[in-house]
Amino acid sequence: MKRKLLFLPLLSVFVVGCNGQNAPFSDDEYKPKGIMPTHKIVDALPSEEEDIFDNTIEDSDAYLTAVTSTNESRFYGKKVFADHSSVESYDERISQTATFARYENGISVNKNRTQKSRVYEGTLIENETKQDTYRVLNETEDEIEITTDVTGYDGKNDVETSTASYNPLSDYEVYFQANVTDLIVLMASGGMIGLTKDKMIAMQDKDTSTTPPNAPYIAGDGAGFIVETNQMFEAYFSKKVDNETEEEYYHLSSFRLYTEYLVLSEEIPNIVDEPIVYLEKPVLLGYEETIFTTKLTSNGNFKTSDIPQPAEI
Amino acid sequence: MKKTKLLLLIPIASLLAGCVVTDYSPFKEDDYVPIGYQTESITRVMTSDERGILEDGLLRMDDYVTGMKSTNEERYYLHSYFGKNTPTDYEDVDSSLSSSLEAKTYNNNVKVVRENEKESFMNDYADVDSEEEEYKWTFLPTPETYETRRSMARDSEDVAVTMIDTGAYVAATDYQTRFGHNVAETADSLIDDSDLIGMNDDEMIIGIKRTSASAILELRRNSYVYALTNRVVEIKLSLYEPEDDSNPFYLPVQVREYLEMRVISEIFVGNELAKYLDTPIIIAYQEEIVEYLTTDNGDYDIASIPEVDIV
Repeated sequence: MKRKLLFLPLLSVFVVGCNGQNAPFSDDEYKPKGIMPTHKIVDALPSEEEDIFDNTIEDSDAYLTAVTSTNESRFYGKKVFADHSSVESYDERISQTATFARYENGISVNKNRTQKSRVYEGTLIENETKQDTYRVLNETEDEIEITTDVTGYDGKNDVETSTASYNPLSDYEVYFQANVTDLIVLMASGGMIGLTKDKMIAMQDKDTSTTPPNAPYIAGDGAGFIVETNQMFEAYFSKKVDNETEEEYYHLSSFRLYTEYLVLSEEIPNIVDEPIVYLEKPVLLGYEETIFTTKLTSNGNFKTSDIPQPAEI
Repeated sequence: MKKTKLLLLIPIASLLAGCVVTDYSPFKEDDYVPIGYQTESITRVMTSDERGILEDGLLRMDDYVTGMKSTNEERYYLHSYFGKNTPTDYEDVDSSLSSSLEAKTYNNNVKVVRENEKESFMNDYADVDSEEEEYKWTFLPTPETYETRRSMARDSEDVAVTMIDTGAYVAATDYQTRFGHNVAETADSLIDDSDLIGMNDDEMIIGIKRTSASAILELRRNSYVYALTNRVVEIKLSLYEPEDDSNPFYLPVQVREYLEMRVISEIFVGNELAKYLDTPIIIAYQEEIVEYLTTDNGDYDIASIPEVDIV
């Protein structure tokens, strides 16, 4: 019991209030938006707006000229459980960005970047990878050239080019459209829906689960802890008017999924019928935040000279 | 842990201790004060004559009731009360529902029901008020057929009128179903179900049923709390003298049901001793009050029933 009392202040000093800024990674400036939704729902969704949404959302990806997603995850398994670690315990940071952009001159570009850092006791492992894809439609619009520029975790760069036949009716969505909305609307079903004060349609949901005492989170040395997982989902849809048909439509404006893992207890006592001591302030064990943003305005023309060429053999 | 719980309890206690439910509401301008589980006092037993009149009335009352009014108020404050420990079976919102219903039967075989419902949801990220108003008209477009139309308006939306039911009508067997208010069935059931029945000082028959059950609510974060659920159902019947009959009978004037949930302990975790609160705190309630009317409503202008605009 004394050992546990000593352990608690140590945890507090180390980690209470811990978030992205106070991470074990010295250059980590990412500040997650966290568990609270960005906008408040202030009105029920009127039937008229619901009808516009239902009738237009399925095809609204066609309006998006660019989509950017970022994913930031942190895990502080070594730092939080400093007194319960093993040689396998680590802290981890993963930063990913993915962008899709469609240009006026028949080119679409995907860029993906991933950075991983993992800190074991005395060991820092850092990795970075990128994968860019350029798709260029020919003048007769029956063939598309696809260039991939990949740099693996080992630093090796590889550029490849291939061509494929192109049918505007069936292939446009595949090569020149960000296909994100269907999945997000599917994920949002079952949550709360309404209007924000800016008249955006909001879909929000929260979920919480806690490890039960008989199946706790197990730290590196085998000690059990109660850990809570909180998840928050928010998606916002804005209304616009189609320039040609003058019909109103809704499109995805932004989306965010945040998951956090909180340590709620001291080490679970190994004495039968001894109550678990819950912490006054939970300790952040890790989080993951994914954010999508969209763009509807033109990206202009893409400079074909910026597309890398395969190395000559 | 003890400190944690004490710290948690102090703000709650300062807000709520010693209060009744209406002293605590996260909803603005909530001035509803429930009658609660305070009921009429039964001051004497019913005589056999009074019991005979009551039983006789059950066979006659449906012929004289021409309308009913009811109000229903529901409040759920579990989210704001428990915060991170909100019970696992409840949503992360406080909610408030106020509804009223008025039904009238007219002499020319028309029944009009108006229902208004105001609902509010509130938590850290939502604050939504909505209102629905519904009218239902049941009438006989021909002597052998009935039709029910409904108009519904939500918030500031346009009213939509739909036909929701139609079918054959036989006056001898279908009148009570289409145009009645099922008073006798309700009264019979509540009187049967009453644990206490007798007369009050105003010579009204009072039937009361009280039930109470305690339970351990399972909260998030592997925690628990003792809660008490109280329910009171009360029916009041007063002597009614019909204009067309010299034999009076007992007619229900009010039916009330009140249901509440009280927290009676601090939050505790497994293997921890539960501490009971000095003053239990009401965190949810529902109160419905129904009144029956015998007013002659005259005839209804059938031409004023709106036409169906949605098929």
